[in-house]
Amino acid sequence: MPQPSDGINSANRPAPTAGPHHALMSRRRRWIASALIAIIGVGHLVDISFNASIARFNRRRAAGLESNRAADFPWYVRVGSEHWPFSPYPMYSYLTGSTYQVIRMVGVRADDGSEFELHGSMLPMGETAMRYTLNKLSRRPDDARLRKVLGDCLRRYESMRTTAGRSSPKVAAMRVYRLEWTLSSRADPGRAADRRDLLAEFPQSED
Amino acid sequence: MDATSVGDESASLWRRVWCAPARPVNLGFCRLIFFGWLAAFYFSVDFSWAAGAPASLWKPVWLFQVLHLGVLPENTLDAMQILFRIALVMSCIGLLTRGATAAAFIAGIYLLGLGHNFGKTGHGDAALVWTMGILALSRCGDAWSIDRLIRVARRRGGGGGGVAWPGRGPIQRPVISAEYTWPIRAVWLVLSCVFFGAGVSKLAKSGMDWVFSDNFSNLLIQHHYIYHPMTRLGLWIADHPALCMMLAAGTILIELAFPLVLISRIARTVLAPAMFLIQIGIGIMLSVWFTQFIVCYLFFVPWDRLGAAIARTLRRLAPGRHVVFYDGQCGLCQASVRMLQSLDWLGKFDYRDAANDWTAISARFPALDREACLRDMHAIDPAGRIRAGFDAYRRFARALPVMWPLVPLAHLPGAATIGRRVYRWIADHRVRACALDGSHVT
Repeated sequence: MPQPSDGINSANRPAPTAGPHHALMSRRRRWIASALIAIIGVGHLVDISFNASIARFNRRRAAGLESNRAADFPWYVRVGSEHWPFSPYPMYSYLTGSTYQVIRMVGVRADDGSEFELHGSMLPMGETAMRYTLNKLSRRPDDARLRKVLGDCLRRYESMRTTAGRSSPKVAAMRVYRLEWTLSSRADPGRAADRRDLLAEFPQSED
Repeated sequence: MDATSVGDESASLWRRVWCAPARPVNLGFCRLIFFGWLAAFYFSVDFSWAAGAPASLWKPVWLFQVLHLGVLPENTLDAMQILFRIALVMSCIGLLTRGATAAAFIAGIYLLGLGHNFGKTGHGDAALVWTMGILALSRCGDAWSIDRLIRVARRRGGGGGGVAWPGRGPIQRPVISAEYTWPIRAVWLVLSCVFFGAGVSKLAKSGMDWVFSDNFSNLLIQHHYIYHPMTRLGLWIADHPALCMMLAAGTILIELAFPLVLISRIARTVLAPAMFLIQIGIGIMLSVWFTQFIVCYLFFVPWDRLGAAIARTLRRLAPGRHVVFYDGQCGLCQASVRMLQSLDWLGKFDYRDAANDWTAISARFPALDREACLRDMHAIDPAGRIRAGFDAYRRFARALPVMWPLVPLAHLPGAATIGRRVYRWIADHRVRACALDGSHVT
């Protein structure tokens, strides 16, 4: 056996035959670990399989192969399609078309009537979540809920503007637009939308 | 193959996956980096916005519905996020690890979950919550932690679960246990669920059109209308349909195959880095960064083998060993040796008990004096120089990577004078406080 460079033996080091000490898990600890592993695995599998079943059902229905039988998944439909922190992780799973639509909320300046985009701390919550929420609301047949949310956002904006002493402009109204681009490889964040539809407006005077 | 052998095979596979004994190093180091990363990430994230968010936007997720959780008042949220950050830091350094990781998990599941109650369920932080939960139930504080150092100094066992250090004397035998395996594998399971779910969702919602249409190309272009990706690479790829289809097919294949990481080392070697690169690619091309999530990949790194390779390299660069002579009758000296051994990642130290093993020591090191070795800790460095007391410790600091930040401080003007006096005082007063069996030490 090669000696260390200074030729010193390490008499106090454990003998090579001793090896590591194997500490066994107690039965209770094994149960705890197994239960956690089962919860993670089974919970995710339930979400994944239900989500896949509903997606398959929806695709067949869209193709005219299935009638509307949402009652097949009553529990899942009732409690929602995701059960955070479980999830079927459906991000980017839908097919994208040749156009791209985005819902955008803007404020209308009280002084000159011009519009400015609301982002970051001017919004009551994260930009992606805000876009997503507005998008869902904009698909409803009536705009009452969308207008209520707009009114709430306006009050929130004004409250933050006045209490925090921000330099943000006073707004006369909040508006929601649907912007649409036809996809092209010249895409750019500064590129004006090919189409711009006003979905709802909530003027300050209505508050 | 009959049913019994299938059952045996399954049980054997289960044991190999979840119960293979391992040293605590990997789990401890993963804990340190994971919570350190989260502490850095969430240090500047303010969760109190939820207190002022309009009620019309509130749409509770399942967990908040079941537990009847609502939005707490702003000052309570402020206090909770301070607690969360403190818990993350304490979990990182391994101070009161069990309590800190449990507090981080409980505060984390509420604070991270809160944002999902406002219209959109995000997918970047659920894996973090599960990982915090797994670590809270694990023995992750048994290595790379202050708790471990305290336990070693107090000699209360570092193996976790009240497992006492085996063997007598200050020298420790390493501990292996399934306790240090299952938490890491459980994080692998979480990531497998994430990616497998994503793969299944794509096939279920879009079928093979997700691959064999212009879907992937459109996806790459879309994000350039609202985000600012760091390169135009996505648009370039979008102009090459065959490449888009290959990338789309590769993505789904890797996602669906990801659960193989649980049972195959080859799969781990291929799929974990591939998925990591996909997520980096998404960040570069779509400007969607999974910043907090990306830390979960560190659970795939074999830190113990990596550390051993680094240690071997460093030992080759600076060969030779230090020999430490301590008083085996003194509790404080034994604790010091145990601490040294805990911090000696490079294996640079040998230990000699001057109280009980003097015959062998004097035969090999005739220049040493027994009384002096019992009075002050002595050390011989690889060059053969003898140092004692504070000077020995100052030399130890240079040989212990974790102590390197202290080396400049120990060489400041006046540090040696103060250090020697402090050492002298402690050495002279250790008899009453630390003698193991009441025997006279000095």
